[in-house]
Amino acid sequence: MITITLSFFAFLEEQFGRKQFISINEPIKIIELFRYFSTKNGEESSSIFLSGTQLNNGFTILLNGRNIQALDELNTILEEECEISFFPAIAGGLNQL
Amino acid sequence: MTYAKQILRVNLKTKEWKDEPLNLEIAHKYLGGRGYAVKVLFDELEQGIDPLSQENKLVIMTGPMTGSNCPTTSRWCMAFKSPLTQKTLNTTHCGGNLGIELKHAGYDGIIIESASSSPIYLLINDNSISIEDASDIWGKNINETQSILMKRHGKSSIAAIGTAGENLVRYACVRNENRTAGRGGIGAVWGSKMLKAVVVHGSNKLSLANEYAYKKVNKQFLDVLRGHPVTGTGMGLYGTSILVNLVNKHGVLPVKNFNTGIFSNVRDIAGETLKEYFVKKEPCRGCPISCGRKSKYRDVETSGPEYESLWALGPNCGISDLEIIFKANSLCNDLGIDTISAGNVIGWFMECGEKGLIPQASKFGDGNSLLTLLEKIAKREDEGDLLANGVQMAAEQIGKGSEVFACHVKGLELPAYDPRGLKGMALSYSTSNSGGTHLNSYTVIQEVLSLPHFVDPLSSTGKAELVSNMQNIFATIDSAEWCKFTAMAVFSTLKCEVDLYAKLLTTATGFFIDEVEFKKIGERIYNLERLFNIREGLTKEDDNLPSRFLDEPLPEGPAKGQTADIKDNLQEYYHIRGWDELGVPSNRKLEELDIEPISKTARLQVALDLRDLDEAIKIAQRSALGGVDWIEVGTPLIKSAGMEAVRKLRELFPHKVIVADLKTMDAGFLETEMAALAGADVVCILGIAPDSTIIDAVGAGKKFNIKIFTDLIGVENPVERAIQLEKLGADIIGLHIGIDQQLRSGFDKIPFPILAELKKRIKVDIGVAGGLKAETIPKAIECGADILIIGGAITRSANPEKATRILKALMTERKEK
Ligand code: SF4
Repeated sequence: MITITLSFFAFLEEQFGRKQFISINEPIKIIELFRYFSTKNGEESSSIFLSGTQLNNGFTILLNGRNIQALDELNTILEEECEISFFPAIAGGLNQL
Repeated sequence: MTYAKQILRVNLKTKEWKDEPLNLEIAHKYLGGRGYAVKVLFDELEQGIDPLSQENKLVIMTGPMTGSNCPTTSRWCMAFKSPLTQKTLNTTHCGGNLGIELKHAGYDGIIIESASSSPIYLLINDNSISIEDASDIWGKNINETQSILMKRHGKSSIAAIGTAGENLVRYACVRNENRTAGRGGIGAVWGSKMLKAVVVHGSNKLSLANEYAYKKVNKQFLDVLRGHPVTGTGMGLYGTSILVNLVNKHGVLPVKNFNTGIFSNVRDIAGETLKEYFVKKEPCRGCPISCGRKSKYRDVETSGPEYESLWALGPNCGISDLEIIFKANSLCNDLGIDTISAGNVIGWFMECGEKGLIPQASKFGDGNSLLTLLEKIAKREDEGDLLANGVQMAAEQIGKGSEVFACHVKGLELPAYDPRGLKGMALSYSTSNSGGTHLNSYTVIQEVLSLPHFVDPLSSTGKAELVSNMQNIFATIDSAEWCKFTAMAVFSTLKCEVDLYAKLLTTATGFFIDEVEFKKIGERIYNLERLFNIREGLTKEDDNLPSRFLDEPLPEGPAKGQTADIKDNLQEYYHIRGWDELGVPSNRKLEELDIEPISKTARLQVALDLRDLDEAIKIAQRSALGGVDWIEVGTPLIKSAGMEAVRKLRELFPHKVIVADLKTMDAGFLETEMAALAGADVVCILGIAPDSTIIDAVGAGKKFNIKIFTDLIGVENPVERAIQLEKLGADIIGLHIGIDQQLRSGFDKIPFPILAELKKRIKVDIGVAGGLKAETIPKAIECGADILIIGGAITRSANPEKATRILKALMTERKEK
């Protein structure tokens, strides 16, 4: 069992809480993580971050502090306990994104 | 135009003042704000002066955008030689209202000279100026000073120092209303002049060069700011403290004097927490972004606290107690202390305590000691006296290896981003002209905020270009006096587009400023600051970071194991800047940027009027050893070897000015473009060519960054044509007696009276070619030649190196007379 910690900042924190935890049985890609995320937070919740398989503009997603754009973006594989942090473009309001 | 066109010069010793016209030529080249102030200081400060002596000058400047209704332009700045770094200039910016009031009072700036022997303050009420006694407010802190002066003078803007400035704390600041001009020790410079405050009220209106066009662009600018998530909502909602979590997650929030980059109690001080203690917005006047705020925690109400202050007085000292941080911030604001430097010095002191290097020093996390130390620093009491000198001097005094963890660059303490995990910031800090600041280039925008695109913070690739580009752009933004936060919305790719800023400047000032010119102004300012530092004795060795960042890898987080070795990046950076391997701007670069006094010294140009490229190269090499300034690829050489000759000489002489003597008579744009693309810095166009050819060449010159030399050979009325050519935009006018003409009428027929007349009638540089030799050089210079073009006397000499040396010596002797 792998536990993934999701941390939310700025207005995302108000929407999803400071932290959520998702447990998975085998390594998955970040893009797949959103399936679990939607199950937990409602069907539409992932669409804040994603349009189809593309990350929406204005979000920074860090895997253990590294921007996933420096890794394999949404295809980055999560294979051990880790923290994914979600930041809106330094805290810009949802309506502007 | 948005300039008031007047500068006030005040001598505090003689208590005299006078109005001087704004130098429009300087304004054209350096814009205003930081650029204008730096130019004044470069020209007027003697090398090696003590920044706290009366020889130091203080330039208070507005920019052309100050006081326009353009968003974020309530800003103004002060430039001075920094008492903290003791060698560099510092320009510190402020969002208080003083700049606007000053503009409305009819002044673009104030140059303050010498020092008073008793406390005074400067009072400006439109064109009524007075120097007032400040004995009754000397010894008081900023809040009280401001309220006394406000009562006394009513509606006006007040900038003042607190006791820290009076006691010459080397990082004392100036407060203007609730905003701070913080860095480099400006407060100490005021204190050394016994200048307690400046009070300004103005009631004049400003005019815009092209109001209709300006309004349209300004609306566009406002829309861009409003429509962007950061400037439209985020900054206003959370203030700058929203950065805390983001920077911490990247592992680059400096903790305990930069020992690590992750703060375990980060939640206590993060923007999301601070939002709960928000009282009201406190933006700079007319700013729609509105990052400024007032907050209250328990009983302590304070401005901000800004991200930098939160960090410096919090994590960097191992403190997470908000009450302590709020109190410390409020104390710094009242005493007049720069929070960044204070947090660094105290962090260093606490580390000395942890390591037992200073027995009485407190330890990390001791909040009460932080508050006591701030008071003692302001009064220079006990250990406060040591700490008041800044971390560099304090560490030099204590020694015992404490220099290793004194976190400064060139003497200025570092801000809140660990350079080990941000390669762009490592280069930004080390090459900053004023030392450890994030305000000359802020690659955090790309490396952390991913704006407009993500750039990997742990990679050095592309950082030299990004940093030099940002440094140039920020220098222009600082000179126009916009807030740099606007850049987060304005830049749309990594090239950092400035089109919108350029249009605003053009419509407000009436100067034609496009993107190229915008960046060139900044580059000129950056190079001039660099020259100032070189004159003060700073070298390549000073473009460096403290040992902590070079030898101690970050211990944890995403940047774990990283150090900040910038050596390779530095050479690439110098190369991009057109500086030599020692980091000195080449004469070629200074010519390109038209930086005086270099460009105002007569230059020697060797004309390689030869057929054979190899032979020409050999002569050029020898002549370069002799010190020739410009190398001309002569017309015969271009005709025999083609543009390859220009390319080859460009490659062999990267730091020399290369002139392509194309003698263009038609197709001005195309031939100028060809010369520029081959690497020439100057191209020769015939002055006798139709105006349309000259206009096209000038247009291409601007586009491809190459100077247009118009040659008067064969022109019947040279003075009249030279005046026309200057109007058409030529950069250099060449008075030229051709070889054939020399053969017939003699080799020493230089028309000196025409040269002297030209000097009187035109402003651009004058080159003289044809028959110049040792005997005629002094006379040519006396008559006003700026460029001496010599062919045979060098190329046909048995020893071109020696011949060049002799000619150069003659030119220098002439200059020294
Ligand atoms: S963004 Fe903030 S600092 Fe900049 S002008 Fe506006 S309020 Fe002042």
